[in-house]
Amino acid sequence: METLDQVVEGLVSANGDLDLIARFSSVDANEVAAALLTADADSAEGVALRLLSKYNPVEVVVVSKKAKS
Amino acid sequence: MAAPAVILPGFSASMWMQSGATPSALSTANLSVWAAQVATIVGTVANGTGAAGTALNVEAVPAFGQDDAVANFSVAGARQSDKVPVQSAPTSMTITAAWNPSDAGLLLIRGDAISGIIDRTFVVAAVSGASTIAYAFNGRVSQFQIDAQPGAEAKCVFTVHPRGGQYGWSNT
Repeated sequence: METLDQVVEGLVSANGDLDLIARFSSVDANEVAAALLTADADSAEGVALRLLSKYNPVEVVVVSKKAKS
Repeated sequence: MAAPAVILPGFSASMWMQSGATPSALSTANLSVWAAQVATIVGTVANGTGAAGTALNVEAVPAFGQDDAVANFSVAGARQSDKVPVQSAPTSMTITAAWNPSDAGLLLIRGDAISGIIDRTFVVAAVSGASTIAYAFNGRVSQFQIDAQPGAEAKCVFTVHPRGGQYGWSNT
């Protein structure tokens, strides 16, 4: 499996449909979210990470406690 | 950066392209990056730096975007069919410009049309004051015609065919 850096590098240098490439890239959603926080928004890396986060959203699991009877 | 909130009729549009004879078109990701990428193609009058670009003096910027393409699927007996968006081609831009045999930009276009395989980055810049919204795309030039009517100024007409999926929006 490619690392996030390798996937981003591939997206940055790609000539083609980035949306399609991002959709089928296998990356860790939490890693993408963390990288997006520090990435420059007006950079090719920022563009690639935003596309990756679109298809790899961080899932928030809500655990509800049942009221005691 | 946030896009400026301005009603579009207040903008003036201009067209720019990479100035090299055999340019390296921007990668798709960089087509959405203003700083040091798209800005180098857009001239200073449109808030860019213009180091690697030249203006294309066109009479009007044609419509751009994506062509409509749908497929109909129907089930026997059903009242309505499904209209499903299918592979849509980007809009080809047929552009008219006043023909000036010394215009560097038009000569590059003519050379691209002769070659037919030169990928070049084009930018449509909409400018309002210090705000610029840029639509950048990679394309190849095909047809190039000179219309030299004796009763009017000579014009040249050419068509830019965008490469599929290779476009991006950016702004100052």
